[in-house]
Amino acid sequence: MSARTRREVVAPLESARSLALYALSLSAGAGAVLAWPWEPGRPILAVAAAAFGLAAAQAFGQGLAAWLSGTLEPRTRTRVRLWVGVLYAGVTVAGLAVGAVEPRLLRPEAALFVLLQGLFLLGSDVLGGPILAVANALVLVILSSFRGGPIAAASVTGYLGSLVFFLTLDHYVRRLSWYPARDVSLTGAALRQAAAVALPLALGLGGFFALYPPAPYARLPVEGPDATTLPEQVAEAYRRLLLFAIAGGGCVLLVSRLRGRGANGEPPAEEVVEAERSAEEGLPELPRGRRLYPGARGRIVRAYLRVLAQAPRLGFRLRPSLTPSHIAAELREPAAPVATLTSLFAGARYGPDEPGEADVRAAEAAAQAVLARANRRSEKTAFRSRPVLYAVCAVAALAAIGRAGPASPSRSREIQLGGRLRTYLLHVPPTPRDHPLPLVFVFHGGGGDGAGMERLSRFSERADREGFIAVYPDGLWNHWNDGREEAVSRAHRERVDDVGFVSATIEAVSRENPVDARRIFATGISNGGIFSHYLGARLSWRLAAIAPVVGGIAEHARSEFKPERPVSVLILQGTEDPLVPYHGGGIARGRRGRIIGTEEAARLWAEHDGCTGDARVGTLPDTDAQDGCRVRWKRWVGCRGQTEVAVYTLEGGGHTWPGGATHLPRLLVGRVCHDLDATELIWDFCRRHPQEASVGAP
Amino acid sequence: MDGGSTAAYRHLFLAACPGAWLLGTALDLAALRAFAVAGAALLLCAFWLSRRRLRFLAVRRELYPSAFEGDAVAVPLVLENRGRGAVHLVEMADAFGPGVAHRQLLLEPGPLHGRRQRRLTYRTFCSRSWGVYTVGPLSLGTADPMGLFQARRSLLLVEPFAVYPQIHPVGGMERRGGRPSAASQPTTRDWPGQSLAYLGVRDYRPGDEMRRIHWRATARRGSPVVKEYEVDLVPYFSLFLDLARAHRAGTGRKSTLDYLVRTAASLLAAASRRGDTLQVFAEGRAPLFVPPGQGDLHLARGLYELIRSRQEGSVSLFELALRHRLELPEGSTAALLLGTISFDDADLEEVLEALRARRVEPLVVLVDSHSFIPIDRRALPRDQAWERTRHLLALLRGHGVAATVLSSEDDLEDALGQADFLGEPAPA
Repeated sequence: MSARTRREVVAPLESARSLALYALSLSAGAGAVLAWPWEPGRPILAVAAAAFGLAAAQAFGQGLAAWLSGTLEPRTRTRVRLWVGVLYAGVTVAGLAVGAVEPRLLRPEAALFVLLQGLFLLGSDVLGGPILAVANALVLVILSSFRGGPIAAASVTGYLGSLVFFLTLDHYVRRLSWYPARDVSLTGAALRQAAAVALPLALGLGGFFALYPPAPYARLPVEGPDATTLPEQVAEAYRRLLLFAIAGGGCVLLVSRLRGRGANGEPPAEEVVEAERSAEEGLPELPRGRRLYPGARGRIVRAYLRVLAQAPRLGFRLRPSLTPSHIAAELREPAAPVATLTSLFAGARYGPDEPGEADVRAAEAAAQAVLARANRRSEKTAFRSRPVLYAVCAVAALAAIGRAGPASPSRSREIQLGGRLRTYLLHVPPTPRDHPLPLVFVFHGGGGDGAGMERLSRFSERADREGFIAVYPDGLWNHWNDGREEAVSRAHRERVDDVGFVSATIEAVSRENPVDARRIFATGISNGGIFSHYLGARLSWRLAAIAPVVGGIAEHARSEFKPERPVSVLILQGTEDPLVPYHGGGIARGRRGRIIGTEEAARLWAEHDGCTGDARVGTLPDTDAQDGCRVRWKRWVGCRGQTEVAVYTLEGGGHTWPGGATHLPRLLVGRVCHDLDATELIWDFCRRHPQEASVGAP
Repeated sequence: MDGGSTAAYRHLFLAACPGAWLLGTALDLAALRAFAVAGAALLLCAFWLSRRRLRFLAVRRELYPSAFEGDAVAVPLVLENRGRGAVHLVEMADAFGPGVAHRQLLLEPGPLHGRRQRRLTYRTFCSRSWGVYTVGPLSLGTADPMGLFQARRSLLLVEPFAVYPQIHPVGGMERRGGRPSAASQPTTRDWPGQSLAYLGVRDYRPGDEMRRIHWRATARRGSPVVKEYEVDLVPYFSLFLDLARAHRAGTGRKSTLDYLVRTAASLLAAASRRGDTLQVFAEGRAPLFVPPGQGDLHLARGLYELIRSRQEGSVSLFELALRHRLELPEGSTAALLLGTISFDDADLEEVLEALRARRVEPLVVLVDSHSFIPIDRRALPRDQAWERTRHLLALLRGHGVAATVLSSEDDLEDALGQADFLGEPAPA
């Protein structure tokens, strides 16, 4: 690239930078001379002198730099910079200290620092750039701040605003002077970027100062020559300053364009190459987000990346230099899944052969196993590393004894299904039972997990009291494939067989515990509620009742709504649910699929269950007047197989577990209804509706 | 990756904000406290912006992973902006191993709009000698609009890059072997074979095909006589490369290894250009075998194996040639590339006889290891080395074998171009 071309690229930016530096100096200098005028009562004269003096200094400074460039040795320049810097720092500290103690001296100090500003502008290139001018302008702003009022406000705001412009333009000049670049014009872009930062800053500061005008220094004399300049004079001075600034800026711009200082900085030590730039192209479309590795390879690589994303929880810091073998050495446990995953990843990433479906499943199962270990580990680590929190929790637990927590802990269980490791929390009541126990599945909402659902629903406490087994399954990728055709989550996209998972879990739990096959129930919230409907339709021969909370029937699932047996259904839905609309339609404003309305869903179940006669309606007492919620119910009884369909409409209720904790801000999920306890209501409903004796597997 | 530091401004700002806060608190100046808060907010915003920009950037290198010595190489980098907003002033630093510089710095001035990519190609040279180098890692750098904070990310985009030796023209190579097409070069040889070129007649032997009986000559002679045809010259070139540790001598560009590899590469390239099928046999620390194949890709494979070879073997080249002689098709050419002139003549003659018996045309290139700086053993005096060279060339000429001897005094390019494998090397 020729020097001429480089100059053409950089010259407009350099001119703009000179203007910004002038604006910076002027805003600070004008503030100082207005705050501490040389001749009180004639501020306009002082402002004019500052504006033209600084403009002349900057214009001549460019010429001086060109003249001195060949005369001073680099070592001499360094020494000059060092001595000037040290001397200036001493003068500044002493000046501010003396001015704070004896405010009468602020006037001559202001004159001195304005003079220094001119000198620094004059010798900025000799002194290693305009850093000293920027620093001295800051000192002038401090001097203005002593005066307080509109002068201080204008100084601070003007300094910061023009500093943003100056730094942005300086940054662009440095980069484009260093690197060869042609056919680019970035002045507009630089100014836009600077404005995007400076304007909000200036507006914010301006607004703040308008509300809270800055007070003057407390030790300033109230009257006399150092008293505040009259506000009218200040306003007039600033109006004139605009004109002076335009004139001075014009001079600076003119000289800058005439001189054109060329490249800045030391010659590069590296090979600075000019890139041939192509035209912009659109990014290649990657199916389903960022699929850089398609097919089976991609699935294995992504399983590995999921594990890497949890590196901090797994106890190591992910660094770019770590190879898969290093990572495996860091992980260590669980040894077999880590080794399997690492080997499969290496094969998928670098190997010549396309991995098979079995490899993909093995990799995903291994990743799941590693992450499951990480979950347990992080819980333990959290407790180990937070003794204070542990103590607080213990005290809180003791304080809440009698009503808090289930008597026995829930245990984590794993099963392998379709090459994937599935997990669930199992809560079995501690009292030994000599008869089969009911089994209740509680499904978490989208993005949650079984442990969170146990805390939210408190079904384990009730299970201990009432004697039933509670199961809190974990959805793959924290979601349930609930029949929505829209690809709202990975579980939907990959069509995870969650119905099969529930079926397998029933078998697994039944092998360990006495389960009453006629009293298996399902409930869940949100995504778990929609899944409860789906499960009721698909697994009706095993489920006696379902109780979806704030979740409807997916529109796509309606066409396949053919349960084999009648199922008791209890629906709880808020009318003010911002995510799952009571009257049906798009979930989360249509971004996450569509459902049918609550009343329609209830009618669908009632028709299927063969409920005869009219539905009965009623309301619950408004036990909590503060929750902004009323409950009305509608029941269809006399259905086939002694089943029942009931809808509890929570008027004013949101996307929450009624009677439960508020797990998200009200702004996002709406109100929690406290007129009923969903856990109690659901268990009561389930308890009353076992499956008919004749009902069994088809 | 630092085109002019802006650290001074950052330091000034970082010192000014708490300083202003302290001064404002000490003197109860609200304007200074407001300045400190606004400045801190500005710094935080700048820090966040510098990191945020980098997060959405990705880059990949689309480089053909080989070139010859001295080649100009264009390295294309594709910079992707996966974010929504435009980015400016993205710096990249790449490390092109075969180049002289440690790093190649380049700038994408922008604007590169969101969800767009741009191809940036920089040009550099393979300045280093043949071998396998790495290209990368690659690092990306961005800064906030004011340049106060710079964020960098090193990407593990490290790829091997093969630099092949420069190819020199080899004199007389076109006479070895034939051409598969109708060209001016001979395609058959006057050995009995299966071509259409008539060679003569001979007595019938059991097993000869009936259709080859020359009936007229049979009637004339009263005993069965069959027609013979010349053999097709198979366009097939086999290279036996000597990688014996004992023959190491010299350093860098003046070493037996360098001469062997460059000569082998030139021979392979000449044969490949002629359309021959190539194969290579050698044995360093491990056996080196390039299976028969044709075309540029196969040549590249052969060259790649050559540049990775080291003189660490213990097997004599003659032993290697005898071991693999049955893998050489009849009528093909076999080049023996020896790293020494000190060996037993009988071994050489045995190999030549064995190759002749397979009707393989031998070609011998000897590198005079005594002309290089000795490493493991004392070099022969120059007069004795010359005597030995003359003797060997006479011996090979006596067997009708094309041969040449290369010494460190020779300029390899000239020596290969002029030797023609028939005459004596020019005296130093």
